[in-house]
Amino acid sequence: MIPESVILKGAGALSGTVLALVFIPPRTLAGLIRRSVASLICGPIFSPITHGYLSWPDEWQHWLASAALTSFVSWWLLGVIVTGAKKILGDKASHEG
Amino acid sequence: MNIFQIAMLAGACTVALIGHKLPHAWLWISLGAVNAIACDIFYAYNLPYPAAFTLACDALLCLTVHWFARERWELGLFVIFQFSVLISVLRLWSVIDGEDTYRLALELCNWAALLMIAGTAILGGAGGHVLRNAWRDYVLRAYRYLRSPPKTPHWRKVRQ
Repeated sequence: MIPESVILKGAGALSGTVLALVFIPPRTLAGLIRRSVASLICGPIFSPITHGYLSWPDEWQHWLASAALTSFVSWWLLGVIVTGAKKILGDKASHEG
Repeated sequence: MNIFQIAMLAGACTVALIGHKLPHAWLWISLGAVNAIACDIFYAYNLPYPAAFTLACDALLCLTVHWFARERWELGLFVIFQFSVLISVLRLWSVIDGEDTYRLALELCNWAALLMIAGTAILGGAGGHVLRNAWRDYVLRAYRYLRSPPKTPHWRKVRQ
């Protein structure tokens, strides 16, 4: 039986990934896959940190929201890191946003 | 149906007629109408978390527009639907407090989308060639008039 917290975190991460896909669409298919995997993994893992940092109450809506927020931030952060790394390494031909 | 829904339906039909030559216009108008009807039915039956349902529908529409967009105006439509998704997120986050404010903001987004389609159709599509030809004819006539010699001999020398 899958624990309820895992389902909540997974659903939150999925919704955060879809929201990030809407607001920060990737430019390539590779970017889409890379970012989706990263945010779907990072969302459930780091959501307790977000939840604790924001001092949200211990309710299911807030756990869902914290997982979604973590996924969204990790999606954005991965794009920033990849773009920054490509600029530093001198790969100006392809900017994966 | 209330007055807002009737007005929206009339507006969608009018824009569909105006933009019948614009590629994808019918598709986006139809999908937007289906989206609005689904959300209204969800509200009418008092089902739980209507803002979340609206958010999911708008996000799906937004992604569809982004993936199938071919022209520049369709990306403008994508931005409008992004605003629609943002409004639902703010509603879920209780930043937008009143239900009426939320519904009004969504209506404004829908009208903005319809206006964008109608404006694009008028300027570049259905009636655009008429406007463009009128402008070109005016410029050509003005150019010919300026280049042609005057009809009255006022430029002749007075003293021989």
